[in-house]
Amino acid sequence: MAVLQFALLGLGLGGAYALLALGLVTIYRGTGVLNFSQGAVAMICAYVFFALRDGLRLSTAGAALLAAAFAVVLGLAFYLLVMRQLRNSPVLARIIATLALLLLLQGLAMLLFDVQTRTPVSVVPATPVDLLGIAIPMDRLILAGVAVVLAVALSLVSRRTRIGLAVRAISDSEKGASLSGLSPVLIGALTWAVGFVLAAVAGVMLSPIAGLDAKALTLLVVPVFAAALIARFTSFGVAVAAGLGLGMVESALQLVTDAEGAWYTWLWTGPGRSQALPALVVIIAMIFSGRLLPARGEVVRGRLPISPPPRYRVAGPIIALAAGLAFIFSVRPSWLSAGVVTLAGVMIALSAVLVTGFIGQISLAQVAFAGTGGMLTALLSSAGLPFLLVLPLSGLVAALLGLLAGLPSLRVRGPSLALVTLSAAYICQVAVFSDGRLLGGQGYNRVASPALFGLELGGTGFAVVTLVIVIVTGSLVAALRVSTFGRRALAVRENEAAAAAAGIDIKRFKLAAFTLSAFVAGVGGSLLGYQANVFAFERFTIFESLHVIAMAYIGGIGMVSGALFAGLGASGGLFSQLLATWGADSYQLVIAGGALLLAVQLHPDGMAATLHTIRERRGRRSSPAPAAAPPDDGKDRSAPAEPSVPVK
Amino acid sequence: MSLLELDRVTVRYGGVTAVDSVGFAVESGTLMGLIGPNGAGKTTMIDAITGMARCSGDIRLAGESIASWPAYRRSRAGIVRTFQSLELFMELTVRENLQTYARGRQADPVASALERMDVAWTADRYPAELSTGTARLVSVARALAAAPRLLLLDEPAAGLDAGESRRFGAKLRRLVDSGVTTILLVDHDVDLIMNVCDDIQVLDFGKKIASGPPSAVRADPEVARAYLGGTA
Ligand SMILES: Nc1ncnc2c1ncn2[C@@H]1O[C@H](COP(=O)(O)OP(=O)(O)OP(=O)(O)O)[C@@H](O)[C@H]1O
Ligand SMILES: [Mg+2]
Repeated sequence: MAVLQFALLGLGLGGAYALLALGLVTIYRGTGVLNFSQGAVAMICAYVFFALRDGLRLSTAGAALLAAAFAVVLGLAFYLLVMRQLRNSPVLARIIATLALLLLLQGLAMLLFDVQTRTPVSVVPATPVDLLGIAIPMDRLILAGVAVVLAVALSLVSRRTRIGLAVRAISDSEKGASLSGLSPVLIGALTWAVGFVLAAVAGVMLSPIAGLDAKALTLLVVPVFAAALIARFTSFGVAVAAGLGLGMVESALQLVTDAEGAWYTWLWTGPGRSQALPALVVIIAMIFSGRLLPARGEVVRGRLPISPPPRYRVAGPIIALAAGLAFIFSVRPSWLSAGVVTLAGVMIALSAVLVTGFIGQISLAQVAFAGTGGMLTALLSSAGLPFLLVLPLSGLVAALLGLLAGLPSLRVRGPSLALVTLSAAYICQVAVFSDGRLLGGQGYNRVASPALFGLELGGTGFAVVTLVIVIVTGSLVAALRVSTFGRRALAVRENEAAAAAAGIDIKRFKLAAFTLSAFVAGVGGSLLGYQANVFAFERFTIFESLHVIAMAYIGGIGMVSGALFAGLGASGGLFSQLLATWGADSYQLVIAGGALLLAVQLHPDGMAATLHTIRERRGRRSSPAPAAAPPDDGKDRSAPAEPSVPVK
Repeated sequence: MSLLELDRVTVRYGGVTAVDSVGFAVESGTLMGLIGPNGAGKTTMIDAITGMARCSGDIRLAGESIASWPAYRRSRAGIVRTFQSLELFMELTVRENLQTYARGRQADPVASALERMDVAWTADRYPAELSTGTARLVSVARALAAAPRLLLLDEPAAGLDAGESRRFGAKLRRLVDSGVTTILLVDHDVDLIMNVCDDIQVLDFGKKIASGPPSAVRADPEVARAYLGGTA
């Protein structure tokens, strides 16, 4: 009976999943974009609504109208100003753009609203009604009902109206839509506006049930992707059914409590197990049906940000070492620890350069690898193992997880892989890192102070060791780029067929890359643990993952210098410290999100790459004659780019 | 024993049978031509041999069945191809493109491969800086860098003028005659094929309709109807 009761109570959560999934499907059908910011949109609209209603004391209807208008304007603006411009950009750029919106909205919420979790008064009656002999608050039934009604409405619009038919045509190809006489821009704008309004409804109706919580609402996107995937991003009806079902199952799973049982009950008892379920659904669905996401006509074969051979492979490390040492021995402790966080951030970003920059596999799980390293560090260091042993061991265990996380990359690519790795990171966050039983400490565990050959390192000593480790790793990554490995990596990321023809075992190669990159991230997480003297799970959340990939992308994810930039921007790093001294640390997320939106449009290859090409041009201009000329046999074989190589 | 033996190789794409029970053998140290009108299944044949298209039937390399091998393993065993649309790595220089493929015990496989195709001067350029004709030669050089036992060329002479095509044919002939490799050449340039090949296979609608030395194929009425009369 209790199971049934909990399942029915889950109708509220399920209704919100369903509404958000309807929005995701609508946007995907209209423009082919996987909108990772769907939960964040629900979140910001909920904050706007409750600020209007409870803060400015507007009527519910008035606040609802204004919040809906806000959602429409946000959707139109984001589509027309950002996504439309990126329609021919690489897949990575389009994913990054929606992640940028997520970060921006998250940052705005922190800045503008009181983000203490609270439970606002419901917008609809919440009196209990009797259902199958169980008392269920009415608001949950209404939320589920709204989802069902809107799904029916969307299906009708999609089947019966000219606009609906045009959207159906456009999911096949952009040309298909122009046949119907409606412009793709109009359809795109419409689907984004509708998608965002659906998110707003979900956010406003769910908050009184589940609480108004900026992070939790933003993270709704993971279970919502599960529902949308089950619906294959096409069927509204299935999306709603899946959303409701997931919500009910998740709610019923809360009944499974932490009873002392056999060791294997650990798997399904403990914190976050019910939340992890939808993420698991995403991963399994993706792996077993590889192309669950129907390919869309408009899909472009993505060019990835450039990854030029590194320039200053000798001077770079020397300058970094000198500058780093000068910094370490001249600053106050608060700046010193920010410096070490930056170094650890560089390490984690280097791992992203390896797997995303070099091989083109979009991984949003790098911080989860780091977290694994951090957790191991807490475990091993408190068991008395020395620093120099703990570091590589933490890396190795993270590498094992990386190998596991790399498996899906053998079957899925691009946005699908981003989704799978995001789900994996989500599971780590909600069910592993915060599970106190693993380390015995509620997600906070002391890390013993690092010592080298029996000598305690202290702040300065540890900073120097970290500096050396990061510089060595950076140099190795730079060396990798110009090695056989690097050439093969770029070959694989650009053209898998030609790479296979070259005799490259693509599967093994991808797995090796994931493993290596997770090792680097794991060591980074271990350093973070030593720096803070504690493993704190909130340093290894999805938001950190997104932050790292955002910063690395802005810096130039194909280049070591891009990782350096990412480290400077890491949360708690030097840039944060700078903002803090100005009393502006609350602006960090907004700045990151905004800068990312600009960077995606202005410097699609990253800032480091822009600098690189500027230098390149200067270099070209100053160098005398072209280096190589064709042998003069009377034929002009050097005919410049004009009839250039056809690219499929 | 033949270097490559194909035994009733069949490739289906949905309802289309792109290659229909084709069998032939390529002897080591020879230059085999493979011709046929557009859509005849020539590229698909190369895909099947290199492991990039799923096929039924048997494929043997020096007597050993390789039909179940993945593409990369066939490449390592010495079956190396070029692509009709070149598929050069645009983000790598020509030298790096060749280094990606380079294998074998030669002292400098990259330099000697570029030398063989007379494109040594392109080494430090990016593919986008090259003319189509040059890029085609580079793509052949890239395959040569892998020291192939069997080199499969998919329309390498497309876009070359008559003179260039003749010089290119001479280069291929030299590769085979000096024992560097064995070649399966797909091209629409009938003169090139007739002049340099030892033997020719003719496909039409996925089926083999004729085979033999150039003189015999040229005289074959079936070929004239399907191919030479059709497009040439
Ligand atoms: N990947 C594929 N999927 C579906 N059908 C295919 C695929 N590749 C080839 N085909 C079909 O198989 C047939 C043979 O094509 P193929 O490219 O092998 O011909 P071809 O002889 O190389 O032609 P061309 O001279 O134009 O290059 C064609 O009907 C083509 O449409
Ligand atoms: Mg072809």
